Amino acid sequence: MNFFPMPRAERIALFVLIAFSVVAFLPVFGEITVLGVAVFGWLMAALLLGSPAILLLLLLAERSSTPDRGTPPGNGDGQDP
Amino acid sequence: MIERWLVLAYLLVCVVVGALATRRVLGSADEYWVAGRRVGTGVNALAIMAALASGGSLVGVLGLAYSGGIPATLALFAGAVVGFPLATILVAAPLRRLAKFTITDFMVFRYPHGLVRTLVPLIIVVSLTVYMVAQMKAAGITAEALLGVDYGTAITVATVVFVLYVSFGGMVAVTVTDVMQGALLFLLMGITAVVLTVSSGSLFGPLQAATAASPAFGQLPAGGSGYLDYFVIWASAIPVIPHIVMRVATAKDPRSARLSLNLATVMYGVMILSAILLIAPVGVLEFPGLTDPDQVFLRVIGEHFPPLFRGLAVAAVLAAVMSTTDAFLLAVSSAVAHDLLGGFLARKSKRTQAMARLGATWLVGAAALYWAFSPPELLTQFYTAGVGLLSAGLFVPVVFGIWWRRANLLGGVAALVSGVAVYSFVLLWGPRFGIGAGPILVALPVSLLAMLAGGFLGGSDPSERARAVARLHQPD
Repeated sequence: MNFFPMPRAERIALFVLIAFSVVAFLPVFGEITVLGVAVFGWLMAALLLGSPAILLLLLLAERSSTPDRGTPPGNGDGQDP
Repeated sequence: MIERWLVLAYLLVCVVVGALATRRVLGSADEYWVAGRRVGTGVNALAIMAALASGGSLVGVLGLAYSGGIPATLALFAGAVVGFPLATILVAAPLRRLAKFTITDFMVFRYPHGLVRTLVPLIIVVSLTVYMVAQMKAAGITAEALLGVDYGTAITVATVVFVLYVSFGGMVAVTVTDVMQGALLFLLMGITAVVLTVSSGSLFGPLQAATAASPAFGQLPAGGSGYLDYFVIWASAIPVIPHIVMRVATAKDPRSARLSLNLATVMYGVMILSAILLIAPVGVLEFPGLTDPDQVFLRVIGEHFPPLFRGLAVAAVLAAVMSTTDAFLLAVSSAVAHDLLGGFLARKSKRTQAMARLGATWLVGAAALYWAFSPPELLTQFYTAGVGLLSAGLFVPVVFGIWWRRANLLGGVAALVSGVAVYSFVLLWGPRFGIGAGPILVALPVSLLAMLAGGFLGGSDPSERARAVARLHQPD
């Protein structure tokens, strides 16, 4: 399909995120309850806290020694990269 | 009485922050729209969290959980939260490397066409102004109920205050006030959850008691599937929603942008989970049968906390409203003064450009205030529809414009137009034509098909643009 390459860890995270979301919406998880709350609710809670936390850990694990400074402050007015 | 003084002091601080930022921002578009691209990770994270946590996240989340049950409420908010990791992976670093101001800038860079230049800012103006009106209405109702100030006075004072600090202080003032507002929100929700948990003696005790007393509180509403629409709308909107894109542009570098997005979302997730799992059950147990579910938060605070804390709670509700509204106001102003009039203003003096930015902010603020005096009754549906329109039109062209090498002008314009057209059609006439699915669930696949068709059938982009897009993926 001719896509730009994406870092492997991010590709996996993206796949897991989408797959988890799709699975969570399966009707079966709306019927079983834990502590009085449908499992669907607990899956959403896990997504709510887990998805940014995992991404955060992934980013922190990236080598901070790799500089990626973007455009320096003040140079952004209308300039293409 | 103490509530009024706290709120007045808070509003005064916001105006002072705006005044102090004026000198720094008025002479430079870079400073005005994106705070000179020097905002650090922690500060940006708090500001993003505050911009995300609207009045709905504080008052509305408890009202929704109380009336619609925990699972459906979690689904609505999880959609927005999932949008942030999506934004981190798919758009944050390339958009920060582009080093422009707005989502329209990216769309015009990627798909240089007059229709894109006009349609994108118009969608932004319409959808975010509706959202602003909804927030202002929430502020007015809250102030009326808790401070005894009448609705009209409350929304006028709040609007004048945030228009003042946004118009004169730009993104610098928005960032500073959002950090204060975000810290206040996080602390207030955290303290409330901890105090209620300690006093109940068990982490999930109130939750179990509430679901035993009212089983529907823990279950999905029968026959409803609206939460899937909301989930998809917010998950796909966050990567392209203008005020978040502008916050990405304020970051000092792409890594900081990505870190701050996820740090903000972790804080937001903790806040929402505390509200839904720890505070809402107390409301269900202690105040069953409320006719207005949105009163739950304030009733719980009133029952368990002293007057000073109640004053802070009122200030926090206003802070939640203002931190979202100010970010929206700046985004809508940028859509007018930068996206729509930018080409014309580029030939004018810096002073004229500064006056145009200021004028656009006041004009948008005045229009929103005028509308907020007599808002439509179905405002929630209106602003959800507005956000849905944004994601239906922009998600596919932005994400594919960044990642797909074959994305081209034909595909981008087709995806934008078809997304907007199909979303509007299904929203307005879908049921009449037997379309049962939510508008976003139809519009996004159609937009994707249009992008693919354009990419395969249309000609390649000029090599110069293809190289510029490739550079968005290369760390400097």
